[in-house]
Amino acid sequence: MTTTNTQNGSAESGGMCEQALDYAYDELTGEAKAAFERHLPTCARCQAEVASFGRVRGAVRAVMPLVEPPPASAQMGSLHAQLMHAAAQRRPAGKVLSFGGRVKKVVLHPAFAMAASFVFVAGAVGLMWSHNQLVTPVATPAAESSVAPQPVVAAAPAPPPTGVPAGTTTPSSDPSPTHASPVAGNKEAAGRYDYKPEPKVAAVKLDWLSSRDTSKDKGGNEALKTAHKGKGADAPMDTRLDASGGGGRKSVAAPTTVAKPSPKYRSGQPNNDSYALELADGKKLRVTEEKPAEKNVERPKVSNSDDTVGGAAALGRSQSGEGLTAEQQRPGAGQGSWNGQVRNFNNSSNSAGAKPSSTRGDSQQGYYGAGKAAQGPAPTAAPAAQPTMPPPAATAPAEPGAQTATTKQRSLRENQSQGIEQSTDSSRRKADELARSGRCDDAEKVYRSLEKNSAFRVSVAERLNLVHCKSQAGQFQRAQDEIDSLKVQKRDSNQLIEREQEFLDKSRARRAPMPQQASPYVDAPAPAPKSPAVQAEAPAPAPVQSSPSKKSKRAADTAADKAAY
Amino acid sequence: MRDDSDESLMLRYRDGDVRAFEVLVNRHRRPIFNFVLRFVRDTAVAEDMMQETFLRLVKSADSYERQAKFTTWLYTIARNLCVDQSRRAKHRRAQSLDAPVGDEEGMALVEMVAAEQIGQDRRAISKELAGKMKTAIEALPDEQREIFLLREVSDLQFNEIAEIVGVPENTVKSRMRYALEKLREALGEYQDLAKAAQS
Repeated sequence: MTTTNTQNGSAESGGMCEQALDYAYDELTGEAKAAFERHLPTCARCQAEVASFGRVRGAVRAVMPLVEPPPASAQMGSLHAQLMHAAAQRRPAGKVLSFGGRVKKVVLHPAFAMAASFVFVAGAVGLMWSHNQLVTPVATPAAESSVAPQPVVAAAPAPPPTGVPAGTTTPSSDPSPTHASPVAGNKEAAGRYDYKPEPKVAAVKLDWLSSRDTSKDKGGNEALKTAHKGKGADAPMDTRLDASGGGGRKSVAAPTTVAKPSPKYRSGQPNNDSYALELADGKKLRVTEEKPAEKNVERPKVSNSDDTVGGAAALGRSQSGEGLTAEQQRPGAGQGSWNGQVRNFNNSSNSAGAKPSSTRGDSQQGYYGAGKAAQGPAPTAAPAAQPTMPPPAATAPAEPGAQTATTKQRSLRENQSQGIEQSTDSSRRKADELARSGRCDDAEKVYRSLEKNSAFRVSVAERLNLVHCKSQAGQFQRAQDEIDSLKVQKRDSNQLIEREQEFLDKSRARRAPMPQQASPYVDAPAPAPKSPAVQAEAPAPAPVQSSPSKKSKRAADTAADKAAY
Repeated sequence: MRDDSDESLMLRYRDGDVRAFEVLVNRHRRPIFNFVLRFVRDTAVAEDMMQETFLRLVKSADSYERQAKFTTWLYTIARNLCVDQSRRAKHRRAQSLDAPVGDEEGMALVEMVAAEQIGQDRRAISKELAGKMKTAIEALPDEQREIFLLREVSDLQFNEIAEIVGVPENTVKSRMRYALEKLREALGEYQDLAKAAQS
């Protein structure tokens, strides 16, 4: 159509014809509209276009009028309601907040609270980490021993009657781990076997045992040493031997007691377990065992319900005769205290018992369970006839003391029966008590049951305890067998074994009756001792496997004993 | 408020005045509905699309600036929706080639228009003319048809249509010319009827 605008041959009119559409839709205004209106009468083509546009628009408006949306329909109404609801739900764009408003908006946001909490916790953790306070509270031995409280048994002041320096028995605050103190182990052995400390043996073989016995030193050995110093000729035989230090024998080196209680005592709430013991004089002695929260850890306390004295120091005095009545100072009474339950107080228990197999050397093999399993239990000696009694004549009148010892042993047996199943440690402690109290067979049974039912291995020291016990009980042959076995198995512990051998020899020599002291056979059994303990076992003339020097030494001891008698 | 311009009303609604928006809806819902109805040729779809147009207006209220004309902005939204709907409708029509040509909606619309605006004696002519016009408009290309509808139904100026469609104004006018030529050719046989209908 636009090409036909030039039909009139006028370019100006052709440009005007381009505006026909605008004129038809009334979009021309002012001068443009007037110019086109002037052009329209002169241009037939523009007139035709405007007319055709008008007809089409008329027809469209006629057939396509504006339609009202259906407001009456429910759908439309609901759509409109939804639309207005959506418009109302819209939140207008807020104005720019001030700085305080921004801060408030940020602070009140939940994410900010979470972030702040995280930052706080992380900062606290980081601070603790930087101060090494986040370390898990592992009980290091050194740290625990540094804060070790004073042992209860050592708290009671027990002045040594024979001039033993108090400082020697005062537990020190050695921060070293208890199971790594060879000195303590040797001290324990010294207090029991009268020997000088040898760190090598204890360090290599008996480290755990020494640590266990360290706790005993704080009470038991202290009392024992006190008793050693205070007893005289009426004292039991073993203690007299120990006390005879300067008389041509090896001097007893007063061990420096380094009492280190078990670290386990310092944690947990104590669980007291007390029981009463009846002493020879009829006094009641209350033994309190504080059991910490840890398993198989006991902490004995000793209190005397009748006497005002308490603790192992008091017991030490009772053993040495100090502070006791004449009845208590009798040999029988002292013996009862010594071999009886009093020794139980020395067992402040086995801090190292928690790891017996790991701390012991490999050379410590099963004893009762493997090597000596076939060894039957020895006949039980009469409880009243303690082997450490001095002469039989002195033993006979000590019937009340024997009864007291029987009572104590009964209570001990009850305690044993109750506690032997509790744990290996408690059983070991019981066995140790039995061995020290002279009940060698019972102790051996306990050791066997321990080896049978658990991974427990009888240590050299415990076997030596048994040897000592058997020596005291007059079971020389069995003691000798034990020593021989130890000599074969334990070459590193030869010194301990030798000392025990010496003790056995001396016991044999002393057990021999006076008329036969001139007999050249030192190991010959006593012909007819009236003591039931001697009747219980007829010691065979066991060959003493000792060196000639030992024999000469034994002869010298025998001569010394002759002179004493 | 009813005398305020669309732009001021829209600004008030942007600031939170819901009543201003209601005025805008009431003011533009009829032309929008007609434009969409002519475009999609379905009343229900037209209602939904009108609803959707105003909902988009609500969502975009924060970004509205007075620089643009409100009607241009509103029809741009509606036109985009119609184009999308037209594309989907073409896809559906391609899938159903056996569907009958002409639907009852269109006839109903023609009948409704005839009932309101045309006299009883011209109903038959208008019905026939409306059918013919409907067919001719549907036969227009989309770019011509949308311009024709925006100009004839929505009564928008060419510059506004150019802004809505996004093409130059001369292109809009050119397309409008082509659309009118085709409709005139279609109405050539019914010029007398058209004259009768117009009268």
